[in-house]
Amino acid sequence: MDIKRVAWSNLWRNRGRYLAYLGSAAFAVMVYFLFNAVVLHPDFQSGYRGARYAVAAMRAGAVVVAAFTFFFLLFAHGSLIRFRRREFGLMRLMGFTRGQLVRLLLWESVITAAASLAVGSGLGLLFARLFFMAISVILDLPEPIPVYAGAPVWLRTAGVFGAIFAAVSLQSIGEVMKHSIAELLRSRRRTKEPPTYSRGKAVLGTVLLAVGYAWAALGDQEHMFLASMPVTAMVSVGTYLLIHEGSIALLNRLRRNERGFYRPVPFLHLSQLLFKLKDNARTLTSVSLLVAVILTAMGTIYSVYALAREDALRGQVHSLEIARFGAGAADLAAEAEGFTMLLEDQGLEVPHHWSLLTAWADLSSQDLMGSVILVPYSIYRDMREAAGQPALPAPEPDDALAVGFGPVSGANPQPYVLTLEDQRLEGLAHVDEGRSLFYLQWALVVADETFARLTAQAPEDRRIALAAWDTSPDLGRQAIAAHSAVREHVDTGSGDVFLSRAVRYDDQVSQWSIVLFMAVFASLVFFAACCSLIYFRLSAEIEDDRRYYRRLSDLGVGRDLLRQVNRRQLVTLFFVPFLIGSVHFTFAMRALSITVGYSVIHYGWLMALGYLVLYALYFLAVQGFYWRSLRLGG
Amino acid sequence: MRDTTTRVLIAQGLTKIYGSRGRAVTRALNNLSLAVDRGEFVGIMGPSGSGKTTLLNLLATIDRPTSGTVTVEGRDTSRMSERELALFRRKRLGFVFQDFNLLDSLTLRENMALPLVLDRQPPSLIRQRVEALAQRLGIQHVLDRFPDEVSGGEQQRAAAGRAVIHEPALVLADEPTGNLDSRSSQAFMEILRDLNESLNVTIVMVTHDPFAASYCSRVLFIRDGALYNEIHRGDGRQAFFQQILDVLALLGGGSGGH
Repeated sequence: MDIKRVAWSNLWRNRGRYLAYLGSAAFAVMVYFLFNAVVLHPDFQSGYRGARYAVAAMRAGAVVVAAFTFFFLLFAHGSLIRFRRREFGLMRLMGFTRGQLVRLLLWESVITAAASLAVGSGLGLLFARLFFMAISVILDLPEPIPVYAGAPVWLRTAGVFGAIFAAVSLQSIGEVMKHSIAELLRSRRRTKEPPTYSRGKAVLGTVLLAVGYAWAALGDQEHMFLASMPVTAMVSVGTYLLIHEGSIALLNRLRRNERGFYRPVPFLHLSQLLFKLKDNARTLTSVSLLVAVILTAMGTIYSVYALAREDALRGQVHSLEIARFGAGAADLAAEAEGFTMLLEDQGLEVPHHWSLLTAWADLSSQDLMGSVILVPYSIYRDMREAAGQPALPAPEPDDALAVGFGPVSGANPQPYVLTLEDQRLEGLAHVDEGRSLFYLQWALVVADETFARLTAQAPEDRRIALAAWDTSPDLGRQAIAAHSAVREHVDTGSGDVFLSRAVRYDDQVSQWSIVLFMAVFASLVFFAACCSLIYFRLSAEIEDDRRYYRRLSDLGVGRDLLRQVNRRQLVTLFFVPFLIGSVHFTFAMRALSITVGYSVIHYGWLMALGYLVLYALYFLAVQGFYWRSLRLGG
Repeated sequence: MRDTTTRVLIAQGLTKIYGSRGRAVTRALNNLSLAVDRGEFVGIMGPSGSGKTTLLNLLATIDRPTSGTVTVEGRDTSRMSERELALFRRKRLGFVFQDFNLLDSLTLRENMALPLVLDRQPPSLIRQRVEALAQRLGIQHVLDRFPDEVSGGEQQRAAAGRAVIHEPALVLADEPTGNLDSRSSQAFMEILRDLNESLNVTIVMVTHDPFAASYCSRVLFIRDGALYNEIHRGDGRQAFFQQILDVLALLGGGSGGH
């Protein structure tokens, strides 16, 4: 029998253990393949609408997926190899030379790498059509993008993952070679130590978590970003210590409570939990942190997406705005009439339209300081009426209304000074805390006569013309088409400003949808890793569990009770880390809310719910499978 | 209802055939019958492959005979469903295995308490019974240790404690001294005898060890799946030990070591 055949039969014999490893590797290959099919798509280079975002998002996603997969496979393969140490020890004992063992491990790696690459790329090819169709829908393209899976995609996928597999295989060869035959043979015969814990470590874990949480929940906006690193470190270490030490303390306590403990299910469940804790702690910690990372990353991206959408809706005051500065400003009013007709020709209704030739001035008061545009009271009142918002009463000739500054802390009204070249106006400014009048936020509303007097003498370089339309509909394809028709006539090259809510909204939505779409795929790679970590743990435990349940069965413990105990074991292994991860994530979202100055926790929870459903399905599948694998007989 | 007669166990015409269509058939037990009275300590001996373990599995109800019946305290176990059997095993039988079969995740105290916990007995009663029994077994000082932390002899004594704590009708022991050194074996057999004599526990023990068998009140010998001989203990263990050796010599084929 040659080495290659031995490698095959080794893998086949260990197929149960390798299943999760190969599955998550193949899944990562598939996602990487699909991302690169977008990044390297020739049509995307020439530019669809939104193609730039798609390429950038997929490129970033591919890097993240490759980097994560590298570390995950390193870890996963390391534990598989450790599990098989005894097997390698026996081979050495039976006369395998070191060289032969290295060749054997290399063959195994070649086979697993080839299998993952073939299956992953194959799935990539299979799903490419769906993937591109989804992107076409998200980017709202008139025709679907043609499927692309050219040689560069295959080469890059094979190259990057080939390198990853090579590194993983070198590491495992090193791991096997560094032990003597005796050590290899001994390594499986482990006896589990009785569960003891250090009070100091448990307290340290609690303190680290508490401080991390408090920092995330109570920090201020300015320093939150800087705080994210130490908070993450504290929470990670705290989680490990608390799972490792704290839960021993907790379980020991429960165990001492005879009334609660001396009942069939808790008796068997809690004692098993405690017994396996040392072995499970690492998995529980990794899964908790991975869950926290997945939820936080997805929660953040989803929040940004939702905020961007909301910002596009609310951030712009009118459906359409055009501004022109300086010498040509005076012509805009006449052109604007034409634009109104153009919009109506395109099938839009234009219930409101304003055109204003005005000027910049410098405002200074206790709380209000800066350049403002001057607005006559009549237009202010008209706009407030159109928006269904209350308008303040008309100011006295020298007084004014300050709009767009938001709430002020000082007196209201407060004295102000306005200067426009050599003109000067002094009086009382009443602050209107309502929304802005134009995209240029700060405005000072004065009486119509005052407005006419001030702007008449404004020098040319202070002049500014503003035109605004409220259209119906103001979102969607028709609005985009009509607004874009207007844009054709606006010379943004010479400094005109053109703002369309429909175009901006569409831009934001497709830009962030594509990021969100990419992130969902990338997160699934993390998610698959999470699931395989649990699978590894279970496959490492199954022999012990089989013996344990058989013993109980021989002693006359009924199947119902065994099933109940087993289900509880799995529920704990699955959902305790998910719960811990969710708590971390809630604090992370709280910190994000502080950073962006807006509560985003509900967006995050919406996202988390989706993952919980996915996770629960995995749990149900594994639970049934595991119970059958225990083969307790009927 | 518990049978009030002195006969605890009656096995009638037990036959067990392994193998199925198209394969070689092995007749492990052939029409074997035996009866055990309350308070008896019965040993079963025979060469390897004689059917000792098969017999014990049938008596333990973890395997079903091809034909024949096992009646414990007047109840025919062949008529019970899987669920009833599990409950019956838990409540009316006690087991001592060669490899102790303690649960590693439980302390000796908890291992001994297991049958009572499964029976939902109050914690105070459980504590009381475990401690009284531990005293008798001489393991009260290691009660709160885990199986891995104590000697084989102590593990086996805890296993014996677990087997009798719920006052079963019958304790079945499968090579209980097989994994013990001679000193621990002797100590353990003294304990089994003490349980048998002081607490009137009925014990059926399969063993290949004539020394262990010499503690029984009666020893059955089986060969080729059928009863071969039976001897009763008279005066003194030493004489009984010699008798057992004599029968084994007649029986031939070795005493069925490992």
